[in-house]
Amino acid sequence: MSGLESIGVRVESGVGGPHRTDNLRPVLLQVEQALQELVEQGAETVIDLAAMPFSTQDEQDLRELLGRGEVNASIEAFGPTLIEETAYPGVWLVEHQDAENRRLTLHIEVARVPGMLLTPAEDLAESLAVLRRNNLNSFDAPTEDVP
Amino acid sequence: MRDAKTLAERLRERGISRRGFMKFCAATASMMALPPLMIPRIAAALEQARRPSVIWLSFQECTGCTESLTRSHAPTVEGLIFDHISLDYHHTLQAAAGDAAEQAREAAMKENWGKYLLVVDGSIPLKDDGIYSTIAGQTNLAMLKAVAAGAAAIISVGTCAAFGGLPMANPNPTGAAPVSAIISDKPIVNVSGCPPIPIVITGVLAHFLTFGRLPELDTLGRPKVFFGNSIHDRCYRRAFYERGQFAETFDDEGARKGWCLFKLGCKGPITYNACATAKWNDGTSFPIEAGHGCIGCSEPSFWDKGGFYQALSKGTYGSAEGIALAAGVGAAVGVAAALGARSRQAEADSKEEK
Repeated sequence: MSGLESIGVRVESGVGGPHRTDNLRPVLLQVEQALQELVEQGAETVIDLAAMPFSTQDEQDLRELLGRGEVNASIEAFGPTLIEETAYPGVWLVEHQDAENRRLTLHIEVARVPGMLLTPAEDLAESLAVLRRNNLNSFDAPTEDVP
Repeated sequence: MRDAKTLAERLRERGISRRGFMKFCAATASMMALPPLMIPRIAAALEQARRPSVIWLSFQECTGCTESLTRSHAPTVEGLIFDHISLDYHHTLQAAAGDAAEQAREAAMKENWGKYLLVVDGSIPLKDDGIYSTIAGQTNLAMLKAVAAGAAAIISVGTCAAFGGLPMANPNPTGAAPVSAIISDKPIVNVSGCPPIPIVITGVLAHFLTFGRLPELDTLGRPKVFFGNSIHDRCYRRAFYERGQFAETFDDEGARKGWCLFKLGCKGPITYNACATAKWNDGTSFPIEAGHGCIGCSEPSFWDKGGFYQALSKGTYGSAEGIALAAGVGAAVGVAAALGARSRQAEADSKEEK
């Protein structure tokens, strides 16, 4: 045993212990209200879990309570973004990480599809222009050069 | 060197896609403690944000504030925001020296008069006409006045610039004073802390970039989003305080079990900062997590208010019988005592300002 492991500090755990804050239940009630608004009005909500004290144990409890759904997705843009559907359709966990896989934010997104999965509108126009140009180049090129 | 590119264009040049940019905005909103519904507005504002000129003046300081800011590992959101500003003058970071450095400062001032941001770390000596600290033959006092005249706003980084800091400690041999004691006609935001949390410094810069103005401030001129809660309010050991479980020494059973450090001098109940949520060293921990009480470094005159290991209940901050009682009886009184402590602190600060 060496380094930090040799320091005999062990924070107590248990009900109401320091590993848990009292913020899990309010968050779950907020998710319930957000889901109701999605169902009734189509309104989407994003909850930033960094906006309040929320411990590692709270997050573990939250993940256990929300469970896992059918969809997992990852995006590579300015580092990875990990998207998980929970067992409650419409309730997603969206974790943004930086290029070195350190967490930037953890959001609960209540929506039919998380916003990050949608193609940005500006990219659509650029995409069409590039595809047209590439198709044109492909058709103009001699057949034997086309892979 | 400035250019006319917006922040979004610069990010795109670095290969960051629109999705990446939205993610950057989500992280920026979180960093500024703004609700996620502000993300589209932040994106729209940052799409158009031009590169602002920043002049950073270091006076009576230890360079700890710069160390804090530059210790983030790249690439981070803080790093990207810091890359986006045009840092036209900074003793420690600039390549130029001597006359060339001063000429760069003067050129930046002339080119951006009325628009640049002035960042100050360190206090300013006033005694004997300010001769105790000079740069290029100019006193800190003269340089501050000259540069502040053309600034759009001033960010006082660190407790020295914000409240006088260690140089102002008794007996204050140089007559050290904070920026706000000298400049009264410019918006000033105090980002206190010894040193301040890097994300708080860049959060203020991001707010300025996004909204073109400084964030809402508390009574001590600090951004409310970062200084609105006490360390105690957000401390993960708060539950032990409520239950009256305290470490009595740094090596007793209570210390090993992670109990509240109030009796070992923790100043968390009267200290306002974001350490407990923003944390340090890339979000690793904050002092209380390392087993040491908060020393109250983001509060005015923290160095002259008794020992770091003297409990608040021993009377450092007034009689504080309420705090002592809270330590014994727990929750309800604890909240009242914390509120009382804040009230007493505000009163003390008010007296000091007079």
